[in-house]
Amino acid sequence: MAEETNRQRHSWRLHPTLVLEQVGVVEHYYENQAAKGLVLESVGEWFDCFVRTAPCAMRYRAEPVQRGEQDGPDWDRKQFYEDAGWEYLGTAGDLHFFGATADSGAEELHTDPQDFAPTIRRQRRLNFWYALIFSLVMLAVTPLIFFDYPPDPRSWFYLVVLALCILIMLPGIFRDGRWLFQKRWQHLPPVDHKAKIPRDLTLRARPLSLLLIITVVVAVNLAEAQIYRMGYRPVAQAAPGELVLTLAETDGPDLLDYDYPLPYQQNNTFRVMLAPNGYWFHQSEESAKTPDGAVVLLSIERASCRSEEMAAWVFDQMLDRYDWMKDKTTLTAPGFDKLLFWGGPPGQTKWYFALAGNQAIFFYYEGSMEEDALLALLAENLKTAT
Amino acid sequence: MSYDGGPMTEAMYYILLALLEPSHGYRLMQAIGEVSSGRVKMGPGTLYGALSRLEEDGLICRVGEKDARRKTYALTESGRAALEAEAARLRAMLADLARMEGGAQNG
Repeated sequence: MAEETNRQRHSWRLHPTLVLEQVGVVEHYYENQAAKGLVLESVGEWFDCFVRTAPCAMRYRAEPVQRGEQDGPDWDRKQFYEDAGWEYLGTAGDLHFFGATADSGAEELHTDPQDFAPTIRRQRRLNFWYALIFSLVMLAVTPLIFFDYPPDPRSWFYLVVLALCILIMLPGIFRDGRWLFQKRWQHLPPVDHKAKIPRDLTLRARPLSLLLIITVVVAVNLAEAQIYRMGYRPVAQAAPGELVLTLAETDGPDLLDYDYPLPYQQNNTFRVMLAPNGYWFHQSEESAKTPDGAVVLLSIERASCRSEEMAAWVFDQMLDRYDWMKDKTTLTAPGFDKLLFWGGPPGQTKWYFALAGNQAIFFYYEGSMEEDALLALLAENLKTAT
Repeated sequence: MSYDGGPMTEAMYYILLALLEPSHGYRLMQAIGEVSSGRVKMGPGTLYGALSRLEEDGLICRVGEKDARRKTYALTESGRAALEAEAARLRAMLADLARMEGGAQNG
């Protein structure tokens, strides 16, 4: 980006961002730019403005921003530094920038490395506590994923993402924690004004991190959607025992596929997955038309658990999930330890919550089969279900 | 780090010493060079940070008009007392050194 102003050619470059302890890198970078004919005119939060001149020797110094000085140093300070030969060029992030020609004889701005100690310590403490609290919050969120109902295949993905986030932050937490514990701010090394400049100094600042964030967000969303979709299979492909009950068993073999408008494109599909806390979860959605044109529906959630206690826990989760169904009726039927019913008169959708040994089932049915026959068929199928 | 009444840093001592006469930024920096016979050189950034800390500790204060853009500093009563205490400490240290050196020569 370049512009012709008052016969001086200006050029804008992305402002490099670095941690305070590497401030010498930025100073050296600006000096190198001047040596190439780009003299820093002003520093901004995002862009630095350079004037194109003949190559020249300049000195630049950065200084940590004190509290209440985010808009720049006050007049007295600027004047003081100017008297000492330093011109104020701008403030970006936690640093004020000053420049002087190399032969101006400007007094070295900081003669004591400890001048940087309070600001560096504050920054380290902030980094440490933010990372620690963020990690703890993520750890606290983990059980919510483990015990969420209904389980979701994306839960595993979220767990992996959470674990990765914590793993990425752990080295920083240990590094900053050790630095603070050892009180290293009391013995800061002098700023190396000729520190080696990384080749990607400006690239690795904003655009690269921005690009990385966008890529990660997009990738996570794509992966999430893909994981959610790929678990579903057509009901027709189910192996024996994977489905505890099908519409064909209740309303006959002559049913026709019917595209019932269900969310998430899960019509006439089923999926089986291992819940994060250790039970197998089966879910199926079916809709069909009978030969005389009536629409029949069946939706089942089933948990095959390690123990009856776990099945009872899942059963409670099912009741919580559908707690908007008030005044459920308790039923008794052979093969069930607990059976609750909610629904309208015959011909309308019937909702059942059932507990049978180590299996918890929630299902709704809208078809022609009578309740007794339906429950008997379900109990029979549960005995052989895998 | 706030001043707790203990031994002063060299920088702090010379700032207080130079502020026996009220002064401001650049002039003060030169004064420190003069009172230390050029031995102590303090950068403007270092001096400015030190002045802020000394003001927070109540050892120096701003004088002149409150809204003046140029900040002129002077010693407070506490600052003068701290400087005198430090000077007494240094004198005592020199006396100890002289006594030890005298003892070593006589022995």
